[in-house]
Amino acid sequence: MTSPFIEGTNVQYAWDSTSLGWFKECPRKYYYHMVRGLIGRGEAVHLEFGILYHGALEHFDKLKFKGASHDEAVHGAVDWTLKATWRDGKPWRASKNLAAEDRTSLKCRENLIRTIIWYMDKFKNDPAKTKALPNGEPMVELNFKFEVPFGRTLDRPYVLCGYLDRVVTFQDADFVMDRKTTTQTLSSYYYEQYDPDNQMSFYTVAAQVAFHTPVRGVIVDAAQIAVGFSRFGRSFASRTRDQVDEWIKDTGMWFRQAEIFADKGYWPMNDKSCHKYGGCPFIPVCTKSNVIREKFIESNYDVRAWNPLIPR
Amino acid sequence: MSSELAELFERNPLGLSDQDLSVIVKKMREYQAQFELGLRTPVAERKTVAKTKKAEVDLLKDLGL
Repeated sequence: MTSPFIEGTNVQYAWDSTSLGWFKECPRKYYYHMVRGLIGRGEAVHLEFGILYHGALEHFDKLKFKGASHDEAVHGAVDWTLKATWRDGKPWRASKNLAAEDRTSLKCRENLIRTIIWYMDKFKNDPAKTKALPNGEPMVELNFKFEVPFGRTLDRPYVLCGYLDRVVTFQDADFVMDRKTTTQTLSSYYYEQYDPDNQMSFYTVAAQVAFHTPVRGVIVDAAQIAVGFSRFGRSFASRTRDQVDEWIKDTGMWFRQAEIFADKGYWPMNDKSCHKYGGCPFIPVCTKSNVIREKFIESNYDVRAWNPLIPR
Repeated sequence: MSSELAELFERNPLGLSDQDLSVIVKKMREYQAQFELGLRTPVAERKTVAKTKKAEVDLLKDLGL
């Protein structure tokens, strides 16, 4: 398996927006997630729900692009989702098997199906249209990987990699479209988190460099999953040329800092970030005395290495 | 959630017909219409755990149970 780290070191050379985001939030969070590959037990649910939601809409977008009617595409996406959530002869996260007290119980199979159907219908006549690649295929679920001039050594250039959900044309301008699921209310406060934002700048650069598409930024399509309903909202995170250049310059500086921590074998805690971004999953570790942390990690976290180089 | 929908969700999707899929989509659209009208929508059933009150716990202890 290809490692995102330079051989024999903890210096990461293949970066996606997730790992860079962890590092920017808190080097210690980055260390636990990326270097150690730890994941909190509740986090896996959100990750899997997001992957299934994206998979269903990828299916929908591709069917629509190939000329299927709205209802044909909806049926295709629902069929795919039902099959993808049937595990070992039983439904994945059926609501009746989840305790009401479970904080992740909103991310259940029924709510997933409801959310994708409501989303597809909400944007039935969406003015945002999927763009085509030069080979005629739709610009949906695009894997990208490109070199950036920040390499530590000549033989191992740094790369930025990841996935774009979709690239669209909206009112004669090109945008990346990124879909989010959340249990938060979709207020202006929710959307403010994307401007400025690492992921949206990262994706803007990726579309411009890897796909030679002069996007103006990212359209954020958010789905709020609540008890009894799902609600949707759309927002724009635009980026000017200057902002893109600044982000690239800053990224080089972040990489230098990551190298320093990796060389020292020590990733300091940013204790001003702990309660932001919905609360860090490693707060229970960092609030423990150093001597008992490893024991606590063993019983409360799983190892599921995050590798930006592995295709979804 | 309606019992018809709950029954469809319990079944292996490999055995679902196009008609079954249509029922799922139709029901979810009905719920959406209800929600848009401000009506109460069905909530996915969840497992409820009976909570024992402290006084009840004390009584059980007193009874040696």
